[in-house]
This record gives sequence, structure tokens and C-alpha cells, in this order.
Amino acid sequence: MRVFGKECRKLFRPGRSLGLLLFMAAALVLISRTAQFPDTHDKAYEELVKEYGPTLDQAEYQTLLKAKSVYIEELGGEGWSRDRVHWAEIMADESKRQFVFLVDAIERIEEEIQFGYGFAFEKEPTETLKEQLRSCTPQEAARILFIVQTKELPLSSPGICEIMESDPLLLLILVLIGCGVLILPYQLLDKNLETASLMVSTRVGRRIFHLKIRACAAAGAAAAFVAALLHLALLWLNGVMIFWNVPVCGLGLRGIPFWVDLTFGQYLLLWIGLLVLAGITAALLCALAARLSGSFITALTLALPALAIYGWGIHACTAVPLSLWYGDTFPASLFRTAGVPLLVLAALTLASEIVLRLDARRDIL
Amino acid sequence: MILFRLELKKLLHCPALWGLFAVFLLYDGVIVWQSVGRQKEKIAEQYRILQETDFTVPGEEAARSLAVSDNYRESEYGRFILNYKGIYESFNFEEVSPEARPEEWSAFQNRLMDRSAAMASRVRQIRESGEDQNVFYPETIYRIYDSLFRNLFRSILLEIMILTVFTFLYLMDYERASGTEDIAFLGQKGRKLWAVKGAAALCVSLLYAALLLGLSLPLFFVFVPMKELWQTPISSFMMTEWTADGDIMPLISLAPLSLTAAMHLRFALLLLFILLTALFSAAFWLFLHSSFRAVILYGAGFLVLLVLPYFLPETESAGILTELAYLTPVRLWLDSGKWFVFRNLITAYNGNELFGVSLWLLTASILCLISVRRFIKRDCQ
Amino acid sequence: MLTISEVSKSYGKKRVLDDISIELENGLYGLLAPNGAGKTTLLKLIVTLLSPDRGEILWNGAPVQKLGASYREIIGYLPQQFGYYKYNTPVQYLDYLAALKGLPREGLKEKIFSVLDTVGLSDVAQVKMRKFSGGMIQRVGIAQALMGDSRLLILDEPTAGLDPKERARFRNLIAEMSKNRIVILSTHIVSDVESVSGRVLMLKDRKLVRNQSASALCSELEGKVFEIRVKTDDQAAALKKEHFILSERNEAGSMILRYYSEQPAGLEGERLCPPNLEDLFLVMYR
Repeated sequence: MRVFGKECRKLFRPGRSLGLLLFMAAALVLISRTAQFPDTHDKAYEELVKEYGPTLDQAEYQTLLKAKSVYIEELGGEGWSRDRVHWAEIMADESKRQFVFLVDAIERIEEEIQFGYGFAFEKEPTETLKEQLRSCTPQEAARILFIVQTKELPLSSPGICEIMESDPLLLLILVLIGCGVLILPYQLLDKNLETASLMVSTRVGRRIFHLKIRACAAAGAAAAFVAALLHLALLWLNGVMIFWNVPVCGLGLRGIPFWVDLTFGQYLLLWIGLLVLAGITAALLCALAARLSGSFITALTLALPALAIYGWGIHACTAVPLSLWYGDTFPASLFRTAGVPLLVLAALTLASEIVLRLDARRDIL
Repeated sequence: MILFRLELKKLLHCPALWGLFAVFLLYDGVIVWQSVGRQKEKIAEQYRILQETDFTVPGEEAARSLAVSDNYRESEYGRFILNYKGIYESFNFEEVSPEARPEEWSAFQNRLMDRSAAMASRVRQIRESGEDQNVFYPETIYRIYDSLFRNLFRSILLEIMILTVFTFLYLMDYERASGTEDIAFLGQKGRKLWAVKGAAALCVSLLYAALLLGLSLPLFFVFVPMKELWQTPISSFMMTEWTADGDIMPLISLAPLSLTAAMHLRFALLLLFILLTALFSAAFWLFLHSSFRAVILYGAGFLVLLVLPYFLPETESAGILTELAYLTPVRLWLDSGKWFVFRNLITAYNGNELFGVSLWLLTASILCLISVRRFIKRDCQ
Repeated sequence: MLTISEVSKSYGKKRVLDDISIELENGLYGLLAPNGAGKTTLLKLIVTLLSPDRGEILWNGAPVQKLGASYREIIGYLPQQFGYYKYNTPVQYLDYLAALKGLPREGLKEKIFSVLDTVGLSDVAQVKMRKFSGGMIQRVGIAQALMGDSRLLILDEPTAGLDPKERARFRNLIAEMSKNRIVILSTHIVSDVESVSGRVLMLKDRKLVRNQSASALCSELEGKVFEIRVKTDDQAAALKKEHFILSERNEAGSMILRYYSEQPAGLEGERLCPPNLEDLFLVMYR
């Protein structure tokens, strides 16, 4: 344990770790969809969630429609949006501007009900949904109908959907970068300094190679945790937590049905778990790449395509975990979203164990 | 010359770099397959239709006749022509004469309005000359222009830049990694050995570029017949596309430009990009003396330049910095699908891409000169 | 006791060591051989960095490969070339190696400062090693080998880079340490071995050819080492043609040649000299 701790200290050099932390924070703040939250549309939904909670029932929906009429009156009656001069006046008035976005949000909710992708507030499938169900597998159709018939209308803004689609990919990229920055120089350091003679002749012996790999895996997991924590902090700071309990099934017009009833918060936690797995796997990839190289650039040249292919593959499999978007059954979608990352991790762990055992027998020249 | 050949040999015998090149080539193959390979029968049929209509835009009656055809491709083509043939008629850029502009407008706002007026004039030119009435594969259906330039070319550009960076850093760092720096820099060339290394790395980067382009582009055109279509102006109404915001818009080239001419200009710009990347890589390594730190600097620089335009004002208080933020190498790479055409008013002037690249070339050259001076005087420990 | 029993080692087709057998008890052993003779290979076999192709190495009767960590616990090893972390201070570096060696944390700091004091680096204990000279780095290497209660100390070229004062200090130290442990000292500096070691092990043509005390080895050349002052180059050339020259030096305008000869040359001014270990080394490996 002591040696493992020392190896971790070599890995997490203060300058490098701090730089990586700042880079991750900067990237999240500058690029993520969460950082742009709430835009004006999101603010309208925020108001709705504060007023009605994470979902709408029938009575609340009727109240909402009445509220829409009031907003439209405040804005100048029907046809308010067509007059350009009037529009400029509305935009200049803070409260009237908010009415515009509330009306937009309510009209979007009406549209969701009309198209009924993944859910329908009326508890009966709409014509559009019926047509969709005809092209589904029996399991899919059954699941969608279940959502339709038992769910209330989830109140989520388009921003939440965009966060779900784009931020996990950004987090994955940051974790892959983190693994490269921390692990490649660490693995190459001892290789280039030729410290193996000294290390292997001590009590810890050839176990040092195992400990190094474990330290790398720990680094990958740590990078994932840190990225996830930073993202959660940003979510909290930007007020996204208000949507934490909003059901994820049937979000917006895209209406992604999920096999399991997840809230937005649960969805994010599921993604964090996958991210940690991805981090450990990426760490092992980097460690193997460094083992085969003599310099940082060669290691990076090997690691870059490996990480890119891995990242693309993992994201393609787990882009929207536990959804039935791909026309497969629940076990198949579970395999796709959780089984594939686990399999890849297991394969890489096995590969690194084989390499280590070969290492254990080789002569240290 | 012997030294140059030996340095070249180090690069040509590096399996890691060739491996990366192979991965990139494979990826480009996937892009080509996914964008045009999978629809090659559709494209071939469309080409047949273009041949049957003598590669001219069918008139109103002919288009209607096509639109009601039993053949799906023909009807799709006919409907496209009917919907978008006159797109330039309804297209306008705002024009406010200098006399009518408010006094409080900033220089930036005035510049934008000048460009808007220039674009309006360009649109009139397109309408009057009939430049828009030329055939190509309907963009909203086949997305050929988008696949070629936004997907494939942009990907190749990034790959070439990555290969250039890695090639340079690999070779520059070679002596330090092997522990032969002391000996290498004691030779006849001394520390100017870096120049020989730079020349060798540049040659190999150009080789990678030639191979990537030479293998990917022909593969693309295997699936997309282009005979009689090379001279199609980019501003043809056929290039009308859906934008990310859900609008429908033609590709308005900043000057009359055919596809062939656009390709040639792109190759020229690509060469400048290679040179730019080469100079920056050399400068970073010579300054930092570490390939790890050079890569970190690249990463940080990439992030900063990527987000820079979003932090600069675009309205009254904007100025030259905002304009320059849209001409950084990162921004130009992101917009490489839309070189030489209208992207936004800020970049709506002829030669903006060349101006941007040239400015950065100048910056890179100065940085390189400073780094070289520093490197030559540095202690070799 | 360390027993090396019929050990052979090859690198590919090249046989480096052939059927080496030695028994070592507490004391100081010098390992002498020219470059490429297999000194470092033998030392690496002892510290289990390499595995023998044939034969085995035993510690107190048990094979060292099987003993594993319990054997490595009692080893102090200084490689010919060792890596170190430039961003570490000697204290940090030794602390890390102490963890690898499994030394208990209790009293570790004191131990570290004690070994640093022994090698004369206590003044720079908190200075980053990137500022150290080659000799200082070498002393850090010696310090890490001395850390811990090692019963077996393996030192490969330990005095490379040390000035004469440090070398003398080092010789006295290992002589003291060899009273209750096995110390194997591999070096090209014959005088280091001659002055302190109990026995000298010499390798030639992949085999162990000598395993005796320095004085016993030197007695082999008794009556066969001569010195003569020559005045002219022709004289020197003639002598070089006839005999194996051990050394030559300039003194007061003339050259003094030291040479090996089975019989006296019968030259005017020829003087019989007591042989030293370097003479034996040169004669054996000529």
C-alpha cells in the first residue's frame, strides 16, 4: 500500500494535476452545454418546474393553458409576434420578454402532446404515436405504451436534452485527455531513466510493474471522478439541479423512451459510473501504449488513435444508456450500454495482466 | 545532404507515425463510405438524370414534368428545382448607404454594413449573370458539397496538422529521447541541426498530406461521377442547403468560383496550414525543449482559440479583435467546409482565409526566430 | 552464505558466463575482469534481475528465485547505471526507495540522514538532485545501497565519479561493513580492490579463473616484474618488442618502463619490483 501511495504521488505531480484540473474546469465552463444553462428558454421551464414540480398532471395542464392566454393578452393579443416594432418593444421589457419564452415553452408542450413521441399526456396514443408503434418491436411498443399510459408530462427544457446529448461526450473527451496527460509521462519516466534495475532488486521486486498499472487505473478513475464532480458543481451553480427529479423518459419532441424509469439526476449518475469505467479502460490503454514506446511522442502516436477509437466506440454504445433507440430488447440494450464497456475493460485488464506476467519473467538488462 | 537524408530516414522508419497515418486513412475511408459510398446507386442514378437533361437546368415545364414522374429520383429532382430554382430572387442582404447610417455606429458596425452591401451586390451579380443556374447534385438530398468539404476535407486537414505536429516533435525530440544531444549538437552543424531536422520533417509532412489527399479524394470521386460538373459554380442554386439553425440557404461564394477553382485554392491554403503548423511545432519545441510541454501548449492554445470568438463582443463595442478571433487557425479549421463562401458578416470579404493564415504565419515565423535564437544560446545539460 | 552453483548465462547465441561456481561468506570480495567479461551479468544474476540458463544461486541453501521478497530484503544493490528523479531531493529519493525496500517508517528519517551523512551529502539533503554533479549522484546511489540492514551488498563500479578523498572514505566504509556481511565490489579501479578486499574473483573467457586473496594472486608474479630507466627511444622500442610492458612513465627527462618477463632481461639498470594486482590484471588479460 505504501509503495502504491508513492507511485500515485509520482503520477499526480502537483503542477500537472493542477494544470489538468484547471483545463477540465475551463473546458467545462467554456464549452459545455451546462455552462450556457439557463438560456432564456431554460428560464421559462425553470419557472414552470418551480410552479408545477417535475411533471404536469391534467389539471395543471389546463391551468397552464389558461396562463398562456393571459400571457398572450399581456403581449398584445394574437398576432403579437408579427409586428416588428411591437416585437422590439416587447424585447426591451424584461417581464414581457419572459412572457414570450413562457408562451414558447407552453406551445412546445402542446406540440409534444400532439406528436406524442414516447408519451402522450392524454393517456391514449396519438395517431402519430400509433404509426410509430407499428414499426417497433413488440417489446418496444409495450414499453412505450406503458410510458404513455402511466406517465405524467415531464417538464424539461430543450437545454436538458442538449446537456444529456453533448455533455457526456465532452466529459469523456476530458477524461481521455486526462489519462494521456497523467499516465504517458509517468510510465515513460521510469522507462527512460532506467530505474528498473534498482526497483526490481528491492523487496517489492517485479510486483512494482503491477503496482504501476494499478496506479494508472486509479488515475483513470480519479480523472473521471474529478471531471464528474466539476460537472456536478457546474450543474449546481447554474441551477440545473431544479430539474434533478424530472423523468427522463420522453424528453421533448425527440422523446427518448428508456427501459428503466430514470430521472435526469439518475441518468447523470449512471453516466458517471460509465465514465469511471471508461477512465479505467483508457488508463490501461495509455499504460500499454507507453510500455511499447520509447518517447512521449511515440507513446502519444500510439495512444491517440487507440483512445479515439475507444472513445468513439464507447460513446456510440452508451450515448443514451438504457434507451430503446436501437430496436433491441432490454437485455440487449443493457449489454450495449453496460456490458460493452465492462467487456472492453475486462479484455484490457486481461491483456495488461498477460503483459505483466511476461514482464515478470523477462531479464532486466 | 547526408544529414538531411539520415534525418529523413529516422522519420520514414518510424512505425508509430505510419501507424497513425494508416488509422487516419482508414477513418477517411469510413467517412467516404458513410457519406457517399452507401448511396452510390442513388448518386449514379442522379448523374444519369443530369446526363439526360444535358447538364442544364430544366425549365419550368420540364421541372414540373419531372416532379410528377413515377421515377422517385426524377420526381425528387423536379421538386427540388421547383422549390429552389429561384432562391436568389428572394434572398437579400441589408443595405444601408453611408449617408443613412446613424452617427453613433462604431467603425465595426460600419464595416459590417459595408460587407452586407457588398454581399447584396454579389447576390445581384449572381442573379444577373445566371451563375446560379448551373446543375449539380441537389445538396439537400445528396449533401455532396457538405460531405466533400465539411466532412472529408476538414477531417483531412486536422489529420495533416496532427501528423505535422507529431512528425516535427518526434524528430526534434529524437536526440533528447535517445540521450545523444551532447554528441549531436557537437557536430559540424552544431545546434543548427534543428534546421536540417525541420526540413526533413516538413518533407515528410508534405508526403503524408499528398498521400492522404491522393488516396481519399479519388476514392470519393469513385462514388461521385463529376464529368461535366467540375466547372459548376459554387453559387449554383443546387448547393442550397439546410443550415444548423433550420434555415434554407444557398452557398454564396464571395467571388465567382467553380468547384475546381475552389479545390485548387483549398490545396494552396492547406499547404500554408502545413507550413504554419510546422513553424509553430518547431517554435514550441525549441522554446520548451520538451515534446510533452509542446503538446500541452498546443492543447491549451486550441481551447483558447476555439472559444475566443464567444467572449468577444459582436456588437457596438466590437472591433478588430472580434474580427481576428474568427480568423484563428482553429476557427478557420472549424469553418473549412465554408471557405470562400459566406459564413457570417464578420468574415464576408474576399481573401479573409488567406489574410488570417498569413497573419498567423507571420506570428509563427517571429516566434520561431525568437525560439531559435534562444535555443542556440541555451546551456545543453 | 551465498552459493553460486554451476551458473551459466547466454544472451541469444553468445555465452557470457560458463559454469561459474563460488561460495561466499562474510567479507569483501573484489570482482575483476575486463569489459564485456560478464561482471555485471554475474551481479545481476545474484540480485535476480536475470535468470540463469543453467545452475542456481542459493542463499543459506535455499534457491534465491524461490525466496523472492525475503531474499531481496537483505540485498543492497548499486547498479553501474541507475536512474534517479531529477525533481526529487536525496531525502525524497531515499524515502521512495525505502518504501520499495520495505523498510519500516519508524526511525526512517533518521536512517536517511545518517546514510547521507555517511556519504557526505547531509549539507545538500534538501536540494533537488538536478543540481547535483555526477559524483554527488553516485554518492546518493551508494547511500541507497547502504540503507537498510542488508546482509548482501552488491556494488557495481561504485567509485566512478568520486574524487580520491571520497574514494578513500568509501573504501574504509565498505571495509568496515564487510565484517558482518558479504560485500561484492565490481570495479576497474584495481587499487580499490587491492587495498581492502579479502578475496579477489577474476573472470576470463566466461569462467571464474581466480578466487584468492590479493597477496596470493600477486605472488604468482613474484620475480617476474621489472623496472628499467631508458634514455633513448630506440632502447624503449627494443624493450617493447621483446617484453610485455606494464606501464611507462616520464621522470626527470627519461622514461621508466615497467615490464613483465619470465626471466630477467639482463639489461643494465634493470630492477626487480614487487608485483601488484594491476600487474597481474594486465598480464592475465593481455
